[in-house]
Amino acid sequence: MQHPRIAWAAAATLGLLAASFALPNADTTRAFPRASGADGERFSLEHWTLDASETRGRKVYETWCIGCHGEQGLGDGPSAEWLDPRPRNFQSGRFKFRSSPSGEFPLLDDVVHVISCGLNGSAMRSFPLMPEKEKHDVARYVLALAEFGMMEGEVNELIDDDGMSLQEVLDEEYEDIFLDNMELAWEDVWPVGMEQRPEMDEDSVERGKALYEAQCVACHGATGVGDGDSSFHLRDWKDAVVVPRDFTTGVFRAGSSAQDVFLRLRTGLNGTPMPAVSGSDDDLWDLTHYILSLAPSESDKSVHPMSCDAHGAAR
Amino acid sequence: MDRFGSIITAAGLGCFAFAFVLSSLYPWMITGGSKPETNIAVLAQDVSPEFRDLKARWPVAFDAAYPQGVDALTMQQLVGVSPDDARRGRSEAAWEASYAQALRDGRDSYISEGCWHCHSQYVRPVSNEDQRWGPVSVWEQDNNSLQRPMLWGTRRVGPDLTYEGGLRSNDWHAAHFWRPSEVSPGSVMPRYPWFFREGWQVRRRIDPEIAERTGLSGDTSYALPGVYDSQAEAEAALQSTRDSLPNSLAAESERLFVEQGKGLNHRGLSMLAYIQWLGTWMPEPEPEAES
Amino acid sequence: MSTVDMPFDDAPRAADSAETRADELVHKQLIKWHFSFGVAFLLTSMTAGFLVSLNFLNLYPFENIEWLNAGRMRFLHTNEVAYGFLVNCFVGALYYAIPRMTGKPVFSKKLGYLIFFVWQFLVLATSLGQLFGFAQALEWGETPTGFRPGSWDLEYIPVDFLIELGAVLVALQFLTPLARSIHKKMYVSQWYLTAGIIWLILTYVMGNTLPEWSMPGASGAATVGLFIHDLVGLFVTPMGWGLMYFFVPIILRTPVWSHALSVIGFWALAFFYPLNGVHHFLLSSIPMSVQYGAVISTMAVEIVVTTVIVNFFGTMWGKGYALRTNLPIRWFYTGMIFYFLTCLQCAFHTSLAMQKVIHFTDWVPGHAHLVMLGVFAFWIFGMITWLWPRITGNEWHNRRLNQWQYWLTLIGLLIMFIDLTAAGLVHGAMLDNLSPWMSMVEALKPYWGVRTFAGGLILTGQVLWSYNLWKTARTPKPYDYRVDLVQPEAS
Repeated sequence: MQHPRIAWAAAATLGLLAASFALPNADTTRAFPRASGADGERFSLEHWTLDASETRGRKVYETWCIGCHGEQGLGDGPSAEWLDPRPRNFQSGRFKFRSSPSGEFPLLDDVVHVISCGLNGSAMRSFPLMPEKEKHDVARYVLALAEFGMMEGEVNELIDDDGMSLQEVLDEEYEDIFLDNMELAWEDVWPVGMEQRPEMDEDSVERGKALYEAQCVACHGATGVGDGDSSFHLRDWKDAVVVPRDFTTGVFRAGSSAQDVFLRLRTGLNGTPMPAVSGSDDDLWDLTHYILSLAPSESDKSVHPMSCDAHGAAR
Repeated sequence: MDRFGSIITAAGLGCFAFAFVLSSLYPWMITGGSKPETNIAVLAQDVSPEFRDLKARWPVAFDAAYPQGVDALTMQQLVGVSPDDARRGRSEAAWEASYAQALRDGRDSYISEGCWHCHSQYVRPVSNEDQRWGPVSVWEQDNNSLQRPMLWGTRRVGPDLTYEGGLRSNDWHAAHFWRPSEVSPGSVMPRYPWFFREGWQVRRRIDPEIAERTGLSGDTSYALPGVYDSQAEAEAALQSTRDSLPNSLAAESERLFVEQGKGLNHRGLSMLAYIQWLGTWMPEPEPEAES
Repeated sequence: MSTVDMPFDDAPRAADSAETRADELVHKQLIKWHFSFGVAFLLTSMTAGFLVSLNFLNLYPFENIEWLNAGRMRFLHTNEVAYGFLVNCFVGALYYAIPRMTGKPVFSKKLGYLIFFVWQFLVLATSLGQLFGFAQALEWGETPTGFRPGSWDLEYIPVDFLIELGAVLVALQFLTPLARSIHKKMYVSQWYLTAGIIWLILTYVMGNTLPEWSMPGASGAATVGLFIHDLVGLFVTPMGWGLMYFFVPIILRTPVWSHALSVIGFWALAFFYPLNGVHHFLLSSIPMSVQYGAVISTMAVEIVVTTVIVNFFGTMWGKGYALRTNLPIRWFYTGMIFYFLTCLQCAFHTSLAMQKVIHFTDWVPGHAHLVMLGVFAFWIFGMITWLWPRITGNEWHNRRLNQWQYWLTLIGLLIMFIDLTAAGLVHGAMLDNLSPWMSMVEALKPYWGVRTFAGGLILTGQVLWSYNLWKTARTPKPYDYRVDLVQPEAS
């Protein structure tokens, strides 16, 4: 070796890299909760331990989100009664706008995107000026609430049905429940892929129209204004009225670009009657093109100048 | 120069007139004076989606507030109406007439509540304002009757409202007017309970099976659109809702009930219409003159 | 020099026939009534301001009462100060100053009572109209037009038009003696007062008609800016300086220092001051040429102001002890120092670089309080403090309360000014650096708390003083004017 120092440096770097992989991933090292020992104690949010980022996120949550989404993220804040659609119940684990497969938790980025851009036409406003770090933290906290929502029922079931005390559950069963649930929650969460978008030509729109008429008309209507036969009688997971999108406005809740529409089709909207549409990527692109062809021209669309739609990117 | 007459003419009238010409007439000549202002009836031809949404959410108050908008049909009412049905034409005319009324009433409330003391309506080319609020203001966008008297404001205790229209939804604004600090914790905006009317609503309790399955409280219920003045009217509405339910939802009819509730009143609706209009109008650019 | 024509007041020759004649020209009852109502409106206005400041701390007590809502209370705060307090007190002081300066009585005593009652009715109609939702969208002139905004549908008392009529009556009342003065040349006070009365009428007509009925958007804004500034610069300021040129020499018993400087001061005010209007809407869509003009003339005003200030400090030359011994003089000169400061502020904060930061922020209310309270209200406090024993004929109930008022008001104002200025810089910086809105509101709340505290001090000062005025007027106790004469202290 002519340059032993370089060799040492390389070895040290490799060693450090290896060590860093060996270190536990922050996401999975949630400290185990402790019971206070009080009589009749049940498993609640205060037992749910948070890491540093989630703790910062809770602070942000309490500053900005609590009024609608409520103290525990149940979507029952003091303003919730006014709002239709209702604010999301994070503990339910059902997130509509995702790039993860149908029925799964969203990716962290999906949550951050909704915070940055808001949901067009709903009371979820955008937070474009919130620092990136805070958005990230609060999105982590939102996901922590969803994780807690999964755990709560099972732990309390043991307390209620099997007569165990919280301390006993924590000592004996908790670790298994936790690991099972976390695996269940996260093992299938990955971004669904999409093949490159083909050109939006008349043929593609025509093919999309055929697919639309086969699968979408019942709810979204023949003209795409959302007036299908069943459209005003749809209910979501919590039995609230849910109205199909009117494609002729050209504005979609979580972004109006072709990619956004594709993702809604591919992943569905959890908790609503909108399923994930099956089919090849090409089929979905055709369908996307048909839906976009129903939208008014750019100049007639009512897009707010500060919305992500107007900027074409997350802000 | 120190005689009574010369003070009156030179200082009292002369200096005043000189300043008036330079700082009022001259800007008027090169802005508003060069192009007539657009009046409210013309502004109202472009009915905002948010205004249509107001009728879907608070139909009873809407019809009471804008008698000229009774014929205006919401999306749900338009289902099954053929494209060349005369009702569609009448509906559009009714939308425009009621929108004009709402914009005017909303603007009047905006003035009399003193909103303009805390909210500005112009975006400057400095201080990153175009990143926070939207495109820098140009005089053309204020050359309309809703900006006479002009409502630019000089303070920003609250956010600038130049481009408020369409930024947030109607239900957000309703919740916010009811109690701003609940929607934006820490907000110092006063609340406006007089934008609301108390009344009776039809509500629907959730399916007990769904409550059981999801862990939601069985008392959870959702209000149907419309706040009625009397319990009897609400009961009648409940009955007609029951009658119109399709077979697939027949089970729901048992879960309908009437309860006291609140919704926007005339002033609240108009205020929302006005706020949702802000920043949505820009005159057509004039075609460039051939040189 | 026309200064030689100036009548000295309460000199040792007070008993001579000229002085008695001068005294007979003055309608003391009218002065007393105007001052009393002025002070009453000052109290209600300050209370309204204090309440609004509570709103900024989420402590507003009447948040569920429509007509006492904080937004509407804000109208009361500015309008009662302008039309209830300043106008009443200036008119009261004019009833004293003008007949004594000109040697002629006002047009008619009966007209005086008519004006008095009409004016109080209008101020009340303004306040009630604003509380019940008929305010006009004209900053500092929210007096109801009575018409639905921008239209001719009458729905309330047309206060604007009645104020016009009132202003014309005021002009008739006071321009008559000014025109018929027994002196050949006009003293500088008379120029200010003559021009100020004419300007009031013109300004009021312009501001209340054009933006409402014919000028939309940018041109309306230019005219509103002109109105706001003319109301301060062409009514309040000339009245204030006119009365200062009258009261300061008679209290100090010395002629003004330089007639030439007073000439420059007057004409430069008349020329430059009204050109400033558009500086209320800088960096807006009003044509830039107009904005630049406003910035330059605002800076020019500062030069003018310096001449006037120099003149008054020259007048006091050698009599500085009066600041310690004579409360009215202390009010006057404190006000003048603040006047210099506010105008200095104007000169640099209208520069576009400063505007970028401080516009839309609390800096501006800080500035406005410094000029309206710190200057013109201070001068009026001085005038009333000096005149009250003279027009009631009673010795002060308690002179120490007047000192308390001075110090509470001064300290309160300084705290408020410094606090709001700092808050403005924080606010401006946070707007610039794209901080989220609510973080900014949270950052400003401590400053708003201090502002409420300062407002409380100021309000307390005025309550003490009003109590003193009340007791003095009601308790007969002979007043010896010699107590208030300015003379060198025995060392």
